[in-house]
Amino acid sequence: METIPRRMMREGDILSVKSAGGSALESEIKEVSAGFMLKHEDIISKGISAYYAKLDELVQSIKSQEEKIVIKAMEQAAQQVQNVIDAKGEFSLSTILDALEKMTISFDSNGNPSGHSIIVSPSVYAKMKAKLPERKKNQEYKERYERIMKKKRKEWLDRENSRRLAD
Amino acid sequence: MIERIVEDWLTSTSERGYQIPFCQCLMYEGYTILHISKHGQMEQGKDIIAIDPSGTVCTYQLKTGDINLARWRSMQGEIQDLVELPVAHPAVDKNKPVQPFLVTNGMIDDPVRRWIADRNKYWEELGLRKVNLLVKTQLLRKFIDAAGSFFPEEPLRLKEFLELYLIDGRSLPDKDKLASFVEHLLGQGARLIKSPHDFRRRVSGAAVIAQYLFSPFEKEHNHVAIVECWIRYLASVLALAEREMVSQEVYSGTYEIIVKRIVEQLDDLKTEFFSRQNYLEEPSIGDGGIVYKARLTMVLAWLCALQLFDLKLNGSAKRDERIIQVIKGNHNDWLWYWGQSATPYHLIISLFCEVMKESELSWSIMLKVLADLSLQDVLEKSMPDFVSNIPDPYVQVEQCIGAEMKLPGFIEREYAASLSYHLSPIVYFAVRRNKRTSLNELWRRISKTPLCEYSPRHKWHYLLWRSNEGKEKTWFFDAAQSWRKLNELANQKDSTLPAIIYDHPEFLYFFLLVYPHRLTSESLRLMDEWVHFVR
Repeated sequence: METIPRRMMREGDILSVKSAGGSALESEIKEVSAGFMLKHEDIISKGISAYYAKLDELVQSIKSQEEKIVIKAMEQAAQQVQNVIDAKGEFSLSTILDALEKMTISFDSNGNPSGHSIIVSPSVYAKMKAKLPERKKNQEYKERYERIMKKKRKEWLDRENSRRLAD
Repeated sequence: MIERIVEDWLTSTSERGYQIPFCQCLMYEGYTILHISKHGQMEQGKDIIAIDPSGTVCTYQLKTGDINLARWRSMQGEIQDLVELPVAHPAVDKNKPVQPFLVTNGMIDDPVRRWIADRNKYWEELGLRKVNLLVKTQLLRKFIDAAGSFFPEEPLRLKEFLELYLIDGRSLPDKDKLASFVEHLLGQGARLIKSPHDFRRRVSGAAVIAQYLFSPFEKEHNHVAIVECWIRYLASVLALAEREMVSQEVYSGTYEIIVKRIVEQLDDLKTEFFSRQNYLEEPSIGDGGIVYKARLTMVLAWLCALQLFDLKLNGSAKRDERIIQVIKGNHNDWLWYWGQSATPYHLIISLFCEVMKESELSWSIMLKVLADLSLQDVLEKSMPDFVSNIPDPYVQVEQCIGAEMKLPGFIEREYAASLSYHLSPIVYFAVRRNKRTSLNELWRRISKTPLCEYSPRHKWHYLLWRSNEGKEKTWFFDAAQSWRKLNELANQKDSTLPAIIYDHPEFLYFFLLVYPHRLTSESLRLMDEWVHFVR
């Protein structure tokens, strides 16, 4: 979440976003809020520390709500362009490769892929963590990964080279 | 409290300071204002010419302060002109009687009153009407009656009012607070008005209070601040007129009076500009560098806006060659693009250069803006970083200076992540000038820059400082962009602005300098229509 840039929406109540790929999404402003209760005795005995003790709880609650909103928006955007892989709660190395194949990937000036992240549920993350070390030894995975990246690099170069005014 | 406040303002202001509220009150009383003379250039003893509700022509001479016998002797000639010289105005029948008024925000001594009474007998014998007097107490009553019901009573509004009034007149107005206050005064978002009479009542009441709030800037002769204040007031009046669908006949009097005031103040700015060797302000310890550049960028743009405004309304208006010479000699050193709130300043200077047949200079100014607005170092940027490092148009110049100078309280990062609100209007500006080669060179960057434009749900919201109902649209130009399609988009009329703006497109030259976030593809297309014709 920290890597997602934030900016202030200065006016209005509806946000309409059309991506570079052409998919459009419209959303209304959603409220994110959290509260806490403090007993008078706690305030009297602990002073400002009573509030500080609740702050973490408050931050976590807001962060969790924000994450849900962002993930829902990403799901919506992915569904809209049918860019979804249903792994049915399972995870294998080919799931990552299937996902990479569906993605638009950019590369930096050193030729390294940039700007993509994987977001998974805690249960899938546990399975993923167990499987990921295998990828270094798995020749089939490595070859397919290289093939995908070669294709993606070419697509990216084609995209970049097409950035001009046409007739 | 209102009595004390209005009296405090009235007794310390000049005739120019109470001219607008006075005219607004006359209009509220049913008068039609025919003419207001230019500041300091009274025409045949008449500052204001108006027609009262019964059809009688009334002429007014405005004075400041008490009038004793010595002062009276020095102004007798002007009063004689006021009463005896006929009104030279195409809308006035010279054979009809004229009612003259001598108006002052002070008092008139008894010997002078006796003298006037004697003169009045003489004038009546000549078949002329006697001069009527309007002095401080009558003006006070008039203004209190107008402002009374609009004066803020809630503690929070009263606090805002006092904060605005106690501002240092050498600074720029606090835009957020002033806009919120003026819009509240005029009742935006509050109950609906029922008639033109209600509209005039609101506008005249707000004018008295607004004039009071603007007086700190008038005391310091802070031309740009005064102009900004009146534009804000006028934009709020026009928003109300648009919302209530008030006819042009009802709001045009206010429009003309305020615009005249703005033009006069800009004339004063021009006079001061060309009379100075440098433009440092005291204390000079905080001046210079980017502060100086920002000031000069703004002042030059205001001078250009005045010229464009004059030329738009009167094609034969004098083109001031001195301004173009100053721009030619100093644009590299003086102009500073501090963020998107600077776009309208650069744009107005560029448009003026174009009107003055300096097309190359005009384009070089806008090409720099275009390059700044498109993403820098795109190869180094990964997708999530695709935000412009140019502050958005809602970030004011003071904030940009503070961030640039790393002053406490101004966090650079806070203003960094923004979208490009002005890239698409400027791309279309370039397309209309057939700058395909330059655009093609920049297209790699332009096509990766996220574009943004705000469309209010109600057109009258365009004239508000902030609108809370509407859509913020974000999109990209096509990577491989058709030039033909770009041309279509650049010349497309989409009627998104309030009708009042289409009736008075010349107002945009002033409005956009104060409301930079209202620079959209359509508003620039509309401004460009006339410049294109002249070009």
